[in-house]
Amino acid sequence: MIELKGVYKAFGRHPVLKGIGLKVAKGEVVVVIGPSGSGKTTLLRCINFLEKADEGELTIGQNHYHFKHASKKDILSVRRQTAMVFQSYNLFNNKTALDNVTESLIITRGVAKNEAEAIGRRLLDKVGLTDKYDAYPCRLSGGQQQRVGIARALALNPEVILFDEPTSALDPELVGEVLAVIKKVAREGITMIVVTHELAFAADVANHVVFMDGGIIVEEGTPQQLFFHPKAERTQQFLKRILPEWNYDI
Amino acid sequence: MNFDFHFMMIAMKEAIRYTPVTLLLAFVPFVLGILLGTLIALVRLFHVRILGRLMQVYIVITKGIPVILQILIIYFVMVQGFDTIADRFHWSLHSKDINVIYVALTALFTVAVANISETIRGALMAVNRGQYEAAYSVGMTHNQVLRRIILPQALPAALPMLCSNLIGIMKSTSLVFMISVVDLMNAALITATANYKYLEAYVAAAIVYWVLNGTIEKISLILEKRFSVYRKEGVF
Repeated sequence: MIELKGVYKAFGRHPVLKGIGLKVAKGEVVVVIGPSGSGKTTLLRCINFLEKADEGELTIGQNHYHFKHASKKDILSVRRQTAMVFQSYNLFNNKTALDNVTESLIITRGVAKNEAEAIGRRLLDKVGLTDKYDAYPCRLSGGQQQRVGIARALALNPEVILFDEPTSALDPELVGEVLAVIKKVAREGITMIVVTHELAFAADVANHVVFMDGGIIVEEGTPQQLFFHPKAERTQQFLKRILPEWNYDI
Repeated sequence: MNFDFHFMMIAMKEAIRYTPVTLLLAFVPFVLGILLGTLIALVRLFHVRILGRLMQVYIVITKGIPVILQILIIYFVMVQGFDTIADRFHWSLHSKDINVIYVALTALFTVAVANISETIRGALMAVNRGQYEAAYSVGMTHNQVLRRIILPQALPAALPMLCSNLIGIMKSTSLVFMISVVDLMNAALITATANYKYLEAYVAAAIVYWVLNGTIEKISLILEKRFSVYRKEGVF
């Protein structure tokens, strides 16, 4: 279980997160939606300390952390319980697809090399990259790179995987293959927090949808509630602008 | 003008005989410069409080002074400094007993470190931020991030510039004749003192330097190819 309480973060004098609270049960898929600049990505980055939040608390399983007073050890421990999939993939450029997946297993978890490679191959098979074990990232398409990114996150067997707009940098043709993989992973009961603009996808896989705007959570609920019976005016406004594009799919 | 080819060959033989001195003067500062230069680059990149500032001052000063002046200043500081200390403690050892090659090595080292640390700092900055973030996000420590992900990408990128740093040092070594170290160039010049055929001696030394630096360039190209397997081929 992941719990956030009172997360506050400002860049200089400009507040980006104004007291966010969020609860994610084990195996739940939480999708965070909202307009650009609403603080979605910053929230995600605060969870694994890529940004340091100014205030707030984080609970992962039995462990509690204060953002303000987190020590180096705390930060490392949080990062080892979480994994992140980036908008721009951020695969290690100097490593092959397989090494990208096994690197952290070997280096940070102390898994033996052959064991790590077995895990790595299994995960690359799962994301449909059986023939790309030895390819360097520069030889892979965006969709393939992102699938390696997902395999890298899965390898760590984390408490939660954080997806930061995983399909925003892909061209429309490749979005499908990545979403399919994320869906597959979601069905296996891995806890996920997904920031995305793909509302149809959100409606399909989310257990819980959160709508953020201006650094606060405006509204949250099941996809059914949030998409079809939004209460807040701001949510209605936001959905009205985007909904017609995917209304037919549902 | 008549050019004495025969004498040029004699001067060149002498120059080649002293090439190991030049190589020593170039490679020792270069290798130590990479080690210390990487540390300085990291210290400056991560804004380590006092040390980072200090190194910045050192680099700004070193970069702005001609190499020949640095060699001469360090020569006089080391010689006079040593003699003062020797007098104070009544040592029997004096500065004239010390091989000047150590003075030359020290001077070239201070120059090399400043240049190489700037090269490596540039290469480190060229590594995408996302690479750091991804490495931190999978739970690596600072050391692991640098050793496993960042430096393996930065150093190959720095290779062409490091090569020109090395060539720069190699050429600077010729200045040590000012403090009477006998290196490649000084050896060639000494042969000419008897007959004043300096032009031949200069050309002889120039050819040897050119061959050395050409070889370095060639090796650098081979290394570049080897280290950049993960980069896209194609356009360049």
